[in-house]
Amino acid sequence: MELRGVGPSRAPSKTGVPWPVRAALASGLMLVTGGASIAQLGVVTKRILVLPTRQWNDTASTWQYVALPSAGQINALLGGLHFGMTPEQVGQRLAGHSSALHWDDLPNANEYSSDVRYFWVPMQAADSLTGPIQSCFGDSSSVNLLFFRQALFRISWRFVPDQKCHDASEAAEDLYAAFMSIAPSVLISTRYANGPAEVVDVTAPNAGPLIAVRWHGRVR
Amino acid sequence: MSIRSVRLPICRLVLLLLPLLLAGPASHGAPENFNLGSYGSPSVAEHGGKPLICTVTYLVQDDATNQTYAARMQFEPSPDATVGPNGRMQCPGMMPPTVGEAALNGCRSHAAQATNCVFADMDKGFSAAPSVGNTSVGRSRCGSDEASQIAIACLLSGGREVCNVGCGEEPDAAVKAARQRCEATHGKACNITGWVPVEAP
Repeated sequence: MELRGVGPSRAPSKTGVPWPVRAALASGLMLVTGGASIAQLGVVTKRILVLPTRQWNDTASTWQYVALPSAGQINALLGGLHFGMTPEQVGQRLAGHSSALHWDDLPNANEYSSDVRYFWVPMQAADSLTGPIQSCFGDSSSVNLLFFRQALFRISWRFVPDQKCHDASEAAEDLYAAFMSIAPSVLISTRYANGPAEVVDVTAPNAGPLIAVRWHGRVR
Repeated sequence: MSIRSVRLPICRLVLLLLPLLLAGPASHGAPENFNLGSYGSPSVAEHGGKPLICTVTYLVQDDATNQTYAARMQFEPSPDATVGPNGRMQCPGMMPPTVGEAALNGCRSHAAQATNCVFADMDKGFSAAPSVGNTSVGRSRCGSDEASQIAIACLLSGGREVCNVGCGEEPDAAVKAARQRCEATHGKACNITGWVPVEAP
């Protein structure tokens, strides 16, 4: 798997048009997501992602989140995986993978300066990790699981278009939106484009300097 | 009971009520205080079984990915909070900078770089100098006491979305307000739009 390249790029990198617009153009006239439809010729509707609501006290000096997804909901989004699992434990949870998955056998993820290792599964074979995705993605799309010190710290979904699915950005958006309601103190979700790939990364909040490293994020 | 013993309590009562009798409704027309604790007159705690609270929603933008985020901020009503004539809990007239900063932080937690996150209502000079300094925090939010929907309208400028924000009771009204503001500010058609309800469902 190619892991080198340039840093996270502006979303329109694929065609020069931002992904909300691109998706709308691909769908013919306009894309309607979010609230009720406003059908106006030539108007493209973009999705607005809603962050967790904060409740402030009456002097606006302190706040707390109003409601956050339960552990069960987060567990379902992550397909039963959780950060800190060893490669062996992750292998046991993923269909099609034996438990004989060992740190020593994993390749290095070269975008990291630390000793980070990974393995990947085709997205089509990772049903437990693709629940929120309603839109199409290319056959080369994958889910990448990244480990540091033998512990899972990031799951990276990489959506790639192909002949059957010319635009995988909608699929990436479906997934990314599902993680929006989760506070960054629980997990950190990011979305960016890299060449033809749309990437959604979900990272453990205690991953330290590794949080800032994106796919192709290190300049060489 | 002597006459004297009756008169004394009456005199005291008059003295106690005098300031109230002399006080007029002047304070109602005054501008809102910065003090978030002083919303004004008594509140109705619930409406249709739902607690009446103020929600202020900000739209913030990741300028590197053109992703728009809505950051909803709810405010606990103070003991003397006001319900407006429209039956909605009034929101503070002014908002501490920390609240807007928290909205930006919501974007920053998803962004490659913190500086990518700006308020979604952008000044005319934003496309030439894209920074949070060329955006308006006050125009990037809508309060639930005045609007049910918050909308964004954008144009594309070199791959970057340049946007403005509008508030309205209905989605199309909010979008119209955002488009008008965007087109008046930037002098071009703003055909990329989106909206969300101000209050959480």
